[in-house]
Amino acid sequence: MTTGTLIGIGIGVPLAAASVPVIIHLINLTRYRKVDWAAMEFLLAAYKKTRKRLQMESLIMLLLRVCAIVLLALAFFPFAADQVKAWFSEGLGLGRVSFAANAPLHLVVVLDNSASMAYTQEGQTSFERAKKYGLGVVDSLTQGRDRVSIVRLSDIYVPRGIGGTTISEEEQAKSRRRRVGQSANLDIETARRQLAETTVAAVDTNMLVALREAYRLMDVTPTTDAAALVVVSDFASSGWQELMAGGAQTGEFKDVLVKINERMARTGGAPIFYDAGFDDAQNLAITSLSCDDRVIGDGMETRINVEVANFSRGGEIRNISLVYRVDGREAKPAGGKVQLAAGQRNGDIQIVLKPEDLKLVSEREKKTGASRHIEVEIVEPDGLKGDNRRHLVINVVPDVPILVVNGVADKNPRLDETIYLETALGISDNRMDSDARREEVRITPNRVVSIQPSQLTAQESFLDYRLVILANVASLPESTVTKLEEFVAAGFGLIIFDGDRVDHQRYNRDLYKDGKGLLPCRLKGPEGSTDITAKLYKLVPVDEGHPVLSIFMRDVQSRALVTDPEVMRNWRGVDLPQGAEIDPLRPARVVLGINRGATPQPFMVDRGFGRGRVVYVSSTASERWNELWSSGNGLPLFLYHETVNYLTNSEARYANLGIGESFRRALRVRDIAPVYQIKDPAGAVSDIPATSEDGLPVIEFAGTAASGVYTLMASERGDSGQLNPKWQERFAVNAEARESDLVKVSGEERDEEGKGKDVGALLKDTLGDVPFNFQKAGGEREGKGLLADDAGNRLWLWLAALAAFFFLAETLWSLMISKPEQ
Amino acid sequence: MAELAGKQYLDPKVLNQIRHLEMTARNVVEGFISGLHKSPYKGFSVEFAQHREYVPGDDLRYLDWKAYGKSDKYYIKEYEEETNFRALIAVDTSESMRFQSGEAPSKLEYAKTMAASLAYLIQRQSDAAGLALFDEKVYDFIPAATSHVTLLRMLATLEQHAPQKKTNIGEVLHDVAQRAGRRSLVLVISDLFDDIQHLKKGLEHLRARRHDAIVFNVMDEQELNFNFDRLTQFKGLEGYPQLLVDPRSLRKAYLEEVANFTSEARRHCLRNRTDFVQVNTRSALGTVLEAYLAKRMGTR
Repeated sequence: MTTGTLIGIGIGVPLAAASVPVIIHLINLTRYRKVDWAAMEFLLAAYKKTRKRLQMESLIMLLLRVCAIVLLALAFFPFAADQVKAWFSEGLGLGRVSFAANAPLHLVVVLDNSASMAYTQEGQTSFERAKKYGLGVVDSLTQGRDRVSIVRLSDIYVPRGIGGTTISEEEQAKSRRRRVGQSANLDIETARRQLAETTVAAVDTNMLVALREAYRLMDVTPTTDAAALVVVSDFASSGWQELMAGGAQTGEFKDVLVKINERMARTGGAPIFYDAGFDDAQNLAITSLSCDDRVIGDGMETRINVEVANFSRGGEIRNISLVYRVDGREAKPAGGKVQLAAGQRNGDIQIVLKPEDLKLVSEREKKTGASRHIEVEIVEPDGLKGDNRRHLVINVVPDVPILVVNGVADKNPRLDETIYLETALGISDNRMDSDARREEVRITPNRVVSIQPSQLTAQESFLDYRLVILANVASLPESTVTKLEEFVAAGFGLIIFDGDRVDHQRYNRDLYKDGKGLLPCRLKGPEGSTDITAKLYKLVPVDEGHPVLSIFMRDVQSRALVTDPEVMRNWRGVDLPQGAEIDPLRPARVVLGINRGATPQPFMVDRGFGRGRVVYVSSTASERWNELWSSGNGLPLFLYHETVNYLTNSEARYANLGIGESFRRALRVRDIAPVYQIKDPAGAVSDIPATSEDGLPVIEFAGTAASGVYTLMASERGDSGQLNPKWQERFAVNAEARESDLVKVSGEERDEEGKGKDVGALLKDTLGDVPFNFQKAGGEREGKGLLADDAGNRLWLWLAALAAFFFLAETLWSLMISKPEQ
Repeated sequence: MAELAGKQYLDPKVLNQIRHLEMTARNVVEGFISGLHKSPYKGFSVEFAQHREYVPGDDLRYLDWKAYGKSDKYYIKEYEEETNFRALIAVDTSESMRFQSGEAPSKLEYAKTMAASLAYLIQRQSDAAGLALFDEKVYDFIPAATSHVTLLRMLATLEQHAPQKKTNIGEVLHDVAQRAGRRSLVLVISDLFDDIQHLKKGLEHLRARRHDAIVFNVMDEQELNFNFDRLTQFKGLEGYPQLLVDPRSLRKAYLEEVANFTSEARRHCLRNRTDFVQVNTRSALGTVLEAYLAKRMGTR
């Protein structure tokens, strides 16, 4: 059904309804009884006396009937009601309606296929209800004339940046438009097929962007065509709370709806919101699964942090039991039951993975490491199964090889540049286990290799290491710089400690390269004093949200570890990138500063380079320029451990992705294989070609559409062509946790029973005078296609009530004037 | 056969119902039934009316011997017995009397039955009854007589005439007053659908001529109660225009008009010492006459 047709209905229904009593009246005038009457003189006299009153009564009766019928018609054809309302409010006449009556219609369907739409109740998912409605609407259009665009939320979804990288707004918009464009301007048959084939896509709801895309499609519709919008969603809090009254995006939501209405007003009508969700949805979910230790070494004990939530409103307290599996082996209970009231979360659940859980078993694993798949699951069933299970992949490595280039080697530990640092990075822990048997447990997987600067030229590649530390190295040969750039660009880490040996001019030339090189900032001359009696300065956190500082920002005591000691005596002044030197996607971040002057002097600066990162420290790794190691509070131990973890966790980051995020794996020389394949959670295997990025071979896989564990398999071909596995690596994909909150949006206001407003009322509150129609699955207007009711203001109810009133008035009036005289 | 033609207006039930009544009312009939009371008139005689052939059982006293001598056949002499009571029944046969509703007879049918019943009753008392049929004017007139032949003529006349033309009650009553001759009881059976002033003048004329009168205002149930329930086109009789109207909305005003008319007619009747009886065609005729006669007796 086109908007033109709908507009036709808009004018036709009230007119047809209004004409019914008139026609009945006229028919009745032809269907009278004929009587030969003798006492005509009396009758004529009576008629003469009462003629005017009778005419008035007759007119009033007719008007009452017309009003009643028209109101009833409007009540049951709310679209017509809206149209009439629009005419009255806009003062537009019939010309516009007739203009659009047969115009082609471009219908834009915004289809919510986010993860929450998989919620099942009474044997039916929200998405099945949504599709049924969407297909019904499309079926009501005219083949060959009308067109349909489908905006799925999965087309809108753009994954977060991976491994610290971000995608610009422009790139995001391009990506969206490319995907939305594939379902734009479809003929009815194609639209029907695409709708039928659409599935729930474990993405989160970004309705505001979807509506903007919908408006963009409507706005490019030829002005002579009608445009209409149908939004089909479950109206779960996760996707709608911010849009509704009081939310952060309310203004933007209203703005885009105003624009959409303005477009639709050219040909009539108002957008339709269809609620396909369930009012009493309840859902238990694992909302977070993470591992504190981002790089796990063989034999290390690890803690898995689990957050669970009870997404319901006003329901009973739920008991939640968790189990976990390692590599699909037997499920083990994870602690006791957790009790959660409606709307509560608990993020304090920890699962301790013992060294034997993650132990590298085979010789190959002990040589190359292995990935372990941890699966945590809620035992209690509910309507949304997808979020009852989450996956985590932990890459267990034999160790984390770190290359330390010691700029000043000395037998005296106080004079050696890296002795303290090497010791700190390779530290172990002695603890008592349950059998009271003393056992050494590794708390770090690091394996430190120390060399002199003169040995740098002998390094063919740094790719055998995960991290390189330059400590007070005077300068680097050009070939070394190139190798280091390749190494970092591949996703590995580099720490540059300054010192008295550093030739800052050569550093700026070879490593900074006007912002294009490895060095995050331009180096200047030394600051402070070399005099050991000179004043010491404190450190101050500058970027408190930086991962390196996260353990220090947990509480006041931890923060004091950084801010209390006066430790900095001498350091190098730096200039952060300026103007053209700034790379917007890889900005330099000052993590820690030295508290001297109004503005802290940079102490630790972090910046991305390729897929890796570089951290520059403006003082020495030794006590040559500072007294960090003498502070006695363990600050350098924690600080440098966190920095190393931060720079070596790229594999951990790449092993745990969100839906839609691309999996990327840089290939070292030893990883090269003729065949690469990906096995998805359903077991389907597909070949993946290796590509090149910045001159390095890379495997990239963008098909992370489903939650679960994927396996990258590298194989070699045997003599007979069979594939022989060379190595394999796993990565996990999980849906956005916010989609688990499928409790229907209900605003901030609560009644005495704790219930909020229903969706229609909330939309009305949010949109105010902006016209819209609201329909609800299973509601009174279910299956009525575009002829929606206006639940926003329940206009139909008022109209029906008024109609009933007029009928009653007419009946009473009729009885009164025909009452026999006693 | 005139005798058979008029019998439909002599309902045996009606006749049986009124047979026992004694018409003793002062103003109705002094000497209405011979021997029951003293007549105010004296010297009445018996006049020859006609001959008829003798049939066995006839009283030989009335055998006409002269006729036997001339024709050699037996003839019985029939006489019209003169009485001191003369009644003239004036029946309205205008078009308006054609009206009827439901199962009830038309007003004219009812009026004819009523007239026949009264005539029979009067003649059974050996009194004289005459008939005047009228619409705009008296177009058929049978002088009052006591003979059975007169009764048969009256019945035949009643049957012959179809309703037509308008009522002109004033003119008719003037004519009846003239034709009735000596003092008579004029029984007017009509719906009286005419100017009330005409009725008034007619009644005054009757009274001036020392006639007594009883006005039977014959009305149909619908004319009295106007119980129509849906849109109706009223087609006026007697030349009135037609009117399409919802009767429910007009009922009150109509009933007021009827009540005013009835009230006015009754008032003029009373002024002229005339009884006014409104008769619903759905009422049993005997009951109506009984009620009327009982009233007359009560007011004697």
